Amino acid sequence: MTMVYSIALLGLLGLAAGTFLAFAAAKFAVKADPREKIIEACLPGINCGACGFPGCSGLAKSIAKGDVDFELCLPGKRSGAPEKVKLLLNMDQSRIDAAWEKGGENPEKALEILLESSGSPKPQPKKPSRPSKDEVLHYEGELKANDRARLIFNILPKIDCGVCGSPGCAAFALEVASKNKTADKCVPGKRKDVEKLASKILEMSETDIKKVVAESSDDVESIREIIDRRF
Amino acid sequence: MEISRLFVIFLSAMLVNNFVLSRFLGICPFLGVSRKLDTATGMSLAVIFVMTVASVITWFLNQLLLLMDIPFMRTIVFILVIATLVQFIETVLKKVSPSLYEALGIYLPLITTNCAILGLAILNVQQEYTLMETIFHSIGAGAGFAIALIIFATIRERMDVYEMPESFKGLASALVTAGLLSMSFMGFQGLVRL
Repeated sequence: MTMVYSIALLGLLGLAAGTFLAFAAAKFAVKADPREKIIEACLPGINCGACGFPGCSGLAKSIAKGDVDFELCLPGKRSGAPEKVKLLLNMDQSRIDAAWEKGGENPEKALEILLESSGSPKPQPKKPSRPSKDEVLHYEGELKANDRARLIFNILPKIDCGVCGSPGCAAFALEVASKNKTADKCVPGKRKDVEKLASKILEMSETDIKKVVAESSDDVESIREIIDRRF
Repeated sequence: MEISRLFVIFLSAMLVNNFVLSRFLGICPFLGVSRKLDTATGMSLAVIFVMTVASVITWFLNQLLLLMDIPFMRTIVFILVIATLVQFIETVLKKVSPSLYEALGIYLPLITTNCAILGLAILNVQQEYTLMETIFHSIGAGAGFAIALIIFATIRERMDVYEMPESFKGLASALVTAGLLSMSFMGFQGLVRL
């Protein structure tokens, strides 16, 4: 008898709880923004965390709100995610809603419909480009005349990975020094505090720059030490 | 007599046997959601609601369990009720106050496994409270949780402003504060005797 009672009670309770929750979910349903879901479908969905969000859905949400840059997704660069997301961000809400309906509320299908109807050829994935030897030499030559950029160059990882979009670290340093790009675009440098150091270097006056250059050798540690000590 | 007993139960659950600071139940949200005052308040309200409703439902279920002579099913049945209520709150909160929903984050579903709530339901059974006593005990316990959480949150908000040695920043100083707060609540020990 004990067993029958136990099973019956738990079964009934479970059923009651489930029904109650199902009704509650229907009554308090929140209409999610389809744009968010479709943007999430563009992303690789591997929840790698490189963007700083715990997962792809978090990034998709913030992109849809316009809080963050859509190029933040690194693994997505290979699959052309930024291009697709850019297309989506420029579309009207009505068009996205229509595709959402047509695709049966399935984000992948809606994305396909939107990409086809946008007329433009399927966005080709853009690989981060590694610079050629000549390019690197050219930009490193330019560095000689620019103390501030050289200082920034010296705190970069110097691996010329191309993730920042510039051809090599030297070109990136020049762009940061002329404030065309922000230092946070350097992803491998994030571990080494490049952003903070670069912002300090950007705030320094010309004379300070000259002093730091004179005192430091070309490695990161000595530059960091001098900057930390004096500023 | 009856009313004074209810009041004593309420007061003792809130201050003397404060769930967080004397019984050390529900420490997870106590440390996790106490960074900001408004999330702490939202969490407190959610916990008070879940505690009260869960206690009332579990009181009836407990009568049923005793009737069927299967008291060993208590824990699993109680957890089922609590989980359902928490899920319900989550659904409602997502609709009514998305900002609070975001702010509470993972700590909202974690109310399910908040030992303070299951502890309360089981304590009610152990003390063999009547329905009225159960209700007062639950509201008192919830209010006690709220008081502890809100006091702690205001202290932490202030601590963020002041300079502190590097090694004491964040959780370390929070834990020291929690200890001091718990000691100060010991002062209520002589307030009522049950």
